[in-house]
Formats: sequence, structure tokens, C-alpha cells
Amino acid sequence: MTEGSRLPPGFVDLEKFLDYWDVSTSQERWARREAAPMEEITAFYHAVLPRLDDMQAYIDQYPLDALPEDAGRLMRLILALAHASIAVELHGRSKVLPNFHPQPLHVVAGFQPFG
Amino acid sequence: MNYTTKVQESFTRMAGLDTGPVSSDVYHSAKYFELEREQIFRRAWLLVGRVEMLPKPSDYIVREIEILNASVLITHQSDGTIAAFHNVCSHRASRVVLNDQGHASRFVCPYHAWTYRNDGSLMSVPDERGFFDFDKSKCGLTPIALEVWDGWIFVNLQPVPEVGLGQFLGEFGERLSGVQWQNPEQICVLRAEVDANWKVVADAFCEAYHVQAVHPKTLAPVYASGANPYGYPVSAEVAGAHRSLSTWVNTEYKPSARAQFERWLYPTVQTITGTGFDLQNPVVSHPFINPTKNPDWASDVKWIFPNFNIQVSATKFWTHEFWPLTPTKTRYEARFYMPKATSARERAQQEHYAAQATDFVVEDISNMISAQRGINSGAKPFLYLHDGEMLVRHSLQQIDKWVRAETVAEALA
Repeated sequence: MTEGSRLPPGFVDLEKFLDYWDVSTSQERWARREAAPMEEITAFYHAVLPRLDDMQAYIDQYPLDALPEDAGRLMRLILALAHASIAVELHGRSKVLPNFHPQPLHVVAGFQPFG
Repeated sequence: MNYTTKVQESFTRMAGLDTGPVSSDVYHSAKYFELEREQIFRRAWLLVGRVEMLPKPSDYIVREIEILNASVLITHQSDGTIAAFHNVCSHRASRVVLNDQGHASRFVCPYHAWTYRNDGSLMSVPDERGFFDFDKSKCGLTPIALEVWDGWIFVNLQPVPEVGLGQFLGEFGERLSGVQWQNPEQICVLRAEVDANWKVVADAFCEAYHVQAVHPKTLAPVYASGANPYGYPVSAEVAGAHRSLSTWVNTEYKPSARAQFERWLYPTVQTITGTGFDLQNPVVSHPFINPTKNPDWASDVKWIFPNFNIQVSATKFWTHEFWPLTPTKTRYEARFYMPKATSARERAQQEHYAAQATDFVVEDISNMISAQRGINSGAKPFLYLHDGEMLVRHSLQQIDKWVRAETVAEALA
């Protein structure tokens, strides 16, 4: 592993997305997507999409509930992509209802791990 | 040809219901809310969860029933049975358990440290000698009637319930029993306090007529499009206080070419909820699931009176709960049950499902708030209901029946 690298070798191009998109719960991922400008969501989407098969192959070397740190980060990037993809593939915008405030709904428990 | 016109009989008429407009007053009247509190929520069996929420001895959950000012402590006792108690200390009436779930064989009241076993009995009292004519055996937690049916936990807040759970569920319970509730161990929970009457919230989850307008991108392509643009149900019927509706699926649905992530998630199967063609899933052959065995079946709504809605598809189930807070405020909770993911792709499918669920619920909530504001205006004393909205009509009819009935037996007659 490269010194200071938080992702496995071969995934250095995705490092720049960790600070914003690597969060621990479904609620946080949803909130990040809703708060992000569409250009950033789209850039993230197009950067991760072609890497999915490689990411999956790396993660699936390990049991899902006992992932090493770097594989866990890859998994959480895919989970963030699940939210980003809804904006890109369904809504064409960050939020489903752009003028609906305040948001009363919360994901109080997500699927595990990282939900 | 439009799907609706193919159906000869109206579900509403077949169920023996009226077809006229319904009163909107019940959706905001404070007086009616008081009647619902006493005549319905204080007398009906209320569905509060599943046994998998407290799988091991000493596990416990606490469920709030705000309309009755009740905090219900549900414990898994050492003999394997499940029991419910008012979460209220016998000393000065403090709340004993502050968490909403956990693992403990005894509970210590935070006020003066009175300690209870999880069978409700009072175990110890600090400086017990200072009390007068004190009998610890009479100072346990106050029990609440609890019965379990096919893994579903019901409580009844009457000190002595007028009818048992079996009689309350009646024919509906008999027909629905034996369903394999798949993967009940892993849950995604959504919660919101919605500025709308509990019935406005409940009514949003029992018909697909709204899907085309409210969920044009999230749900309509799958559940209201093609041959059935208005999501007309494949069947709908009532049984006692409870009701059932089967929704239609567009079997022609394919993710759009630009939905590249969705296509990566589902390289072979069509949707995460499965279809009536998934015959390997035992729920598909259960006689009361998709009762007409329509091949274009998506999922069933099984609405247990008064405020709990179980939905089941070929591969999974999920629930919606509607807990009244005030005449125009409701605590809404959804629970989506899934198997534990064993690969990156499976886990990603679940996250995608949760992400879609949050967005379609936001669409629904926005609509509930809008409808409540309109109802509050008083501009529309009556509301018109489509045949596909038959469950709304039956819910209102049953609620009114319970509100007027002097006894539960009369309400169920």
C-alpha cells in the first residue's frame, strides 16, 4: 500500500471522494447526496461506476461483516454510489422534492454493515 | 386496453361497501380523535412488533403508544415467553426503562432505584424498612395483555381484554396464518413525525391509484404504467375489521439504458421484491397471498385494524405503522426486512432499495401534509373514493363502527 493511502492499491483514483462520501450510515449518505451539487454527484457517479467490478472483487475476498479498513472504505463508496445513482438515474437532481422542507424523515436504522 | 376496464365487478361493491362520498370531518375533528382514543386504541389489539426484535431471553423493547400515554415494556422472559408491562414504577410512577431496546434481566428505576425482574416482579427496594405495611409482591410492574400470532406481537391496553386476539383477527387471521415471513432478522427502520391525521398517513399506503402522480419516477415505472397506468389492484377484499389488497406489477419493466448502476446491481433478476413468477418462494403459493394468483402480482397490503399495515412480496415483507399523536400529527414508522447480505453486490442492492424507499416515502409525506392542509380548510366536507381506494373506505367504515359500538363484540359483529 502506498504510504498514506486509505484505499487498496489500484484504487488511488477514488481517494479524492473519501472525504465527502465515506460516511458510516445510510442516513448520512442520503443527507450527503441531498446536500451535494448535481455536478459533484455526477462526477462521483462516473468515476466509481467503471470501477465497480474491481471493487466488488476486492471486497468479496473478505467476509462482509469483518472487512479490513481499506475494503470497508471501498464498500462504503459503493453504498454512497447507491444513493448518488438515484439522483443521476432517477431524479436528475440531488433531492427527490427540491422544495420540500423541512425533511421530517430519518433512517433510524439501516441495513448492516454500514447502515 | 386499459387494465381497469377489463375488470367486470367493482371491488367496493363485492365487499358490500357503500359507494358514496365519505366525510372529511373525521380526519381533523378533535372530538372524533377522542372517540378513537377511547373506543379504538384503548379497546383493540394493537400490533407492536415481531418476536425477532427480542430474540434472546432478557432482550427487551419499549414501544410508545402516545395516544394512550402508554410506554409499553416488552420482555423476553427466561422461560421463553414474551410479556408486556406498563413502563411505570410502582413507587412514584417514573419511567423505569429509558432505552427503546436492550438486553437486561432486571430493570432499575432511575428515580429511587427500585429494581424489577423482567417478569415484572419487584425484586428490591432501597431501605424497604422505611415503608409502611409494605408488600413487595403487590408492587410489581402493571401487566399489559400480550398475545403472539405467527411471530407478530399484539398488546391490548384494556385491563381485561373484552376479546382475545384470535377473535379480534377472526377469519382474516385464520386465512393469513402460516405465511413464512422471510428474513425477519435484519431491519431498516424509517421514522417521521408527520403533520397529518393518522388516517391520512395510513390511507397513503393502501392503494396504487396515487402512484402515477406522486411517484412518477420512483415507483410508477414498475407499479403503475404500461397496461395499468393507474395501478388498479389485481384483487381487494375485506375480512372483519381487517383488509387486503394485491397490487399489480409491470412485468415488462426493465431498468432504462441510462440506469447503469441499477443494471450492475441486477444483472439477471428484475426487481428486488420479486414477482408472482418466483414460485420457489413459498409465500407465492400461500392461499391468502395474491389470493387470485394473478401472474401480474407485485405485493399484498395486509392492513391489520386499526393502524398496522404488513406488505409482502415474493421475496420479502415490510411494514408501515401509523401512531396518532394529535388529531393532525402522526408518528409514522416503516420497517423493511432483508436477509443478511453476504457479498458487496447484495449489500449494495439493499442500500439502493433503502435509498429508493426514503425518496418514495418523502414523496408520500409531502402529499399527506398537503392533503391535511386541505382537509383543515373545511373547503371539502366530502371526499370521493375510487374503486382502487376500497381499503380507505373500509378503514373509515370500521373506525366508525368501533367508535359507535358499546362493546368490542358489537364492533366485531
